[in-house]
Amino acid sequence: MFENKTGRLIRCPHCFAKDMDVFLLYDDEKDEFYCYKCCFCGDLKKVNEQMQTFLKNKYIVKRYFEKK
Amino acid sequence: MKPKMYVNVIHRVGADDTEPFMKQQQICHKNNIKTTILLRPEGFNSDDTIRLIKQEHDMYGDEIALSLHAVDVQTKKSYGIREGKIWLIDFEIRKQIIVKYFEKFFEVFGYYPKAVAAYILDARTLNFIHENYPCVKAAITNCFEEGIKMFAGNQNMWHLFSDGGPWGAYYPSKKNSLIPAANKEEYCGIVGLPHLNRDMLMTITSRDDLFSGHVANVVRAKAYDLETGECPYTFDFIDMWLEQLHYNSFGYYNIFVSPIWMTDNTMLDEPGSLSIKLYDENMEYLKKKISEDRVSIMTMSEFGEWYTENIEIGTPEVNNWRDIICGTDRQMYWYIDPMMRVCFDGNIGGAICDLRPYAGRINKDTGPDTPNLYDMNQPYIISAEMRGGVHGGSLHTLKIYINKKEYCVALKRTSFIAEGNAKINITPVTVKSDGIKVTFESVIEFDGMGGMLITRRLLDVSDENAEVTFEEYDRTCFGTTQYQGDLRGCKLRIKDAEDTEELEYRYGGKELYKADAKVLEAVYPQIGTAIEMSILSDDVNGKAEEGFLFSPFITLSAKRIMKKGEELRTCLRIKRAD
Repeated sequence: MFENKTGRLIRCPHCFAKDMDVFLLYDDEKDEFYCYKCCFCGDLKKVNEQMQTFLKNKYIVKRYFEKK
Repeated sequence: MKPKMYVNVIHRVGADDTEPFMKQQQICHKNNIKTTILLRPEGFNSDDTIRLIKQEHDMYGDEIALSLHAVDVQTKKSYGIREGKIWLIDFEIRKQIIVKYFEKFFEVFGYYPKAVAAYILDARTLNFIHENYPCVKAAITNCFEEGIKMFAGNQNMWHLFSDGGPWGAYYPSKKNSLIPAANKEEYCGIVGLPHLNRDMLMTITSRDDLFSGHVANVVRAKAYDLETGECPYTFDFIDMWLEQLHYNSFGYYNIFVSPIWMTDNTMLDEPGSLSIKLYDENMEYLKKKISEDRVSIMTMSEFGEWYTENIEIGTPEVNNWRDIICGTDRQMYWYIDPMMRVCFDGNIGGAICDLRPYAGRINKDTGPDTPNLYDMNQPYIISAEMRGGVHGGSLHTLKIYINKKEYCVALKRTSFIAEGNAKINITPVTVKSDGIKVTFESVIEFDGMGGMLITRRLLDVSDENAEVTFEEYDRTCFGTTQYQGDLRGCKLRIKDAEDTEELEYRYGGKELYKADAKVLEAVYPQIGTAIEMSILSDDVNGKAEEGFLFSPFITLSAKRIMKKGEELRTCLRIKRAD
């Protein structure tokens, strides 16, 4: 593995929404993450917000077989 | 004389769409823009359509041309076929249908068409048209980069595969209609044009059918302000194409929107009135650019004649595109000559992300009577998009070793400064390792016939005791889809001053190595292509690696220990495999 890989692997929220695992790259000069596959670009806050919005709309995170 | 962008505005009309068609015509004419009217075969039977387009021709000088894209119902019935797309019909029947339409055109208008169009026209069709109707000056031959992603975006039901061809005007080869001819003998005789200009960045990162000069396609992408209906992107799009005049001696642009998109009867949830509004605004914008003497409107055949009189066969074309829709600084640089088409991506350190070899001149005719069937995609040898990229997939980049630690330049961002149509400078990149900073720059020079001289210059090392090694790294494969082609039969070669070693590809994961290598080569007989890396610097270790089934690539690498100010120079050449 390359030494200059992103320290922490963070997946691109836009590619994730298309069912693809693409790890964001990090630009230390601009202090932002960017995707090499699509054009997503932003700080960690933006990454998390977009991922959470997508997940919130995609999944219903609660027990399907709930006790009545 | 300042270079100009030549624009074709194209409308396609049949029998039942004259009302929205006339709306489009009126929008153009009020802006003094003449059009090319592509008559669909159904239109021959409509007195109303014929009357209207003759009237438009007489009043405004619009060109009447022939749409060959879809065969009309009556003709299909008379030949007992169900296939309607001209490029997918058996060639013997296809020829008869083309003759029928040309003769009908003559009967109706008293002359043969000087321009034709289809989403795809293969080489044998263009050759046939030229031989029988030499009056044809220009043809729309392909939809740039409509292939795999377009297929996926349309629920795997849109069988239109023309990836890998030119994005602009070109002289199609007699052997393969998506390859620019290398000389006069090879030219098929009809100037090739794309179906629409595309966003040259979104074409890699997204579906390019959504990002083009076609306003309704931009609406389909929802790339407009949902509140106001404003769409600044379409103006930036025209401006970005005008920017290309800095690098080329001319520009070609076409707007080709069928009347149906101006109605509510589309697959869009937006009303047709939005597309009409944007179409109107685009034409006004073009009118403004005409008044600034940057744009000239022509019909298709007028442009075909201008092109043959002014542009030499074999002239390379480049496109230096910047992101204008996603708000990033990402840049893509494209280059095409008769031997290859190549794209460099700024987001992956200026690496080659897409490389289509043309040197093999392979047959890509389509139809049930060909081995290609529906697939006119030109094979890639690098496609980061389809066959992996920065994480071990196909790519051409630089790796740097700082005190033995490996750094891939593809994990850094950079940008390009283009010089004309033969050179790019890749903005210096700095790699950091344990407090040591290494800065280098890259220059790519094109020779116009498939050769790229690549110079990597070490500009600075913060610690003069650090050991810095450059590795020119080229990983290729071949195919037209995401799936691997069969690499058995490929050859790997490595040469030094003394001898040549060769290895036949058997998925064995073997490697060839020479301490002072001069030439590395990967040969792909399946596509008649060889990629040759000549090493122009001294003291370079060369390696050629065979892949294996889980990593099916051929890797060529040239490695050299570097001192500040030194260069690693290689020449990458796409050539015919003989």
